[in-house]
Amino acid sequence: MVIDHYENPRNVGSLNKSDENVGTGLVGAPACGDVMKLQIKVDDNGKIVDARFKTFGCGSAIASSSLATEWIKGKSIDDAKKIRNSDIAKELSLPPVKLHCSMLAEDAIRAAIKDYKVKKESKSSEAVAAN
Amino acid sequence: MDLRKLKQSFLQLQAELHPDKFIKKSQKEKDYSAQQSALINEAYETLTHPLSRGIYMLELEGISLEERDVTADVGFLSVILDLNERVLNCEDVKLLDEIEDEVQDNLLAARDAMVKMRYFFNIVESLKEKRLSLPANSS
Repeated sequence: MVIDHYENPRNVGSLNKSDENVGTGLVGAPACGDVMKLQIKVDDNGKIVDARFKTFGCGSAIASSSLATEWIKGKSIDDAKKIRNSDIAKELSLPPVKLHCSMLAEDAIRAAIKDYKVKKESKSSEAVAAN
Repeated sequence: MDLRKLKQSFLQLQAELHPDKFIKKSQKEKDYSAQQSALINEAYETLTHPLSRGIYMLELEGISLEERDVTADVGFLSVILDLNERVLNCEDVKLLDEIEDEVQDNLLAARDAMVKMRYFFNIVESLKEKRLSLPANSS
């Protein structure tokens, strides 16, 4: 099951970046040059209904983002924010030199949520301005 | 950096310290040899590659790349992601050449940054010398 995230990563791909219900997180690790894009699609109740990722980096970075997308699907954005890199590292039995891969995944989740919230807020302030 | 000289010293040190030389020695000597030999490998790797050498030189000045660091410059990361995707999806050697040219431009910019670093390191050295030449209580 864990190995499978290495061999058959789930949820590889992209969501429509300009969809107002989609949040995009883009992060990179200066220590190794890996880059990770993680996207979430959120319904009106604040639940993450879909998640996709694209990671260019080592196997551990790909597995970390694959697991992260699996875990956040179906969660509320508040619960998704509670996922810690240590949980990901533990589940994938990452060695100490690969811990930054799980940190990258945690940061990508947070960045995606932040992007979604910023989008929503600017949308609602637009609505207020229009009124 | 004289890479040939570096390799010579590396091979010489490994010839003296490699664990193979300590098979019949005490455990303490074996452990010591394994540690030293690993350290020499790491040092050689670090010094051989310009990028790791540059990062190491910064570390010597107390500026280090932490494991926890995250790049959040979305504009820059978008460019990197785009380049990666184009390489991944490329089916045409001519297009690969185009991508390589773009990357090459960035490598030249990196070289310029490294060159500037060289000047700054000279100033760091001058600072150290100057400090030594001034009497300790001159402030």
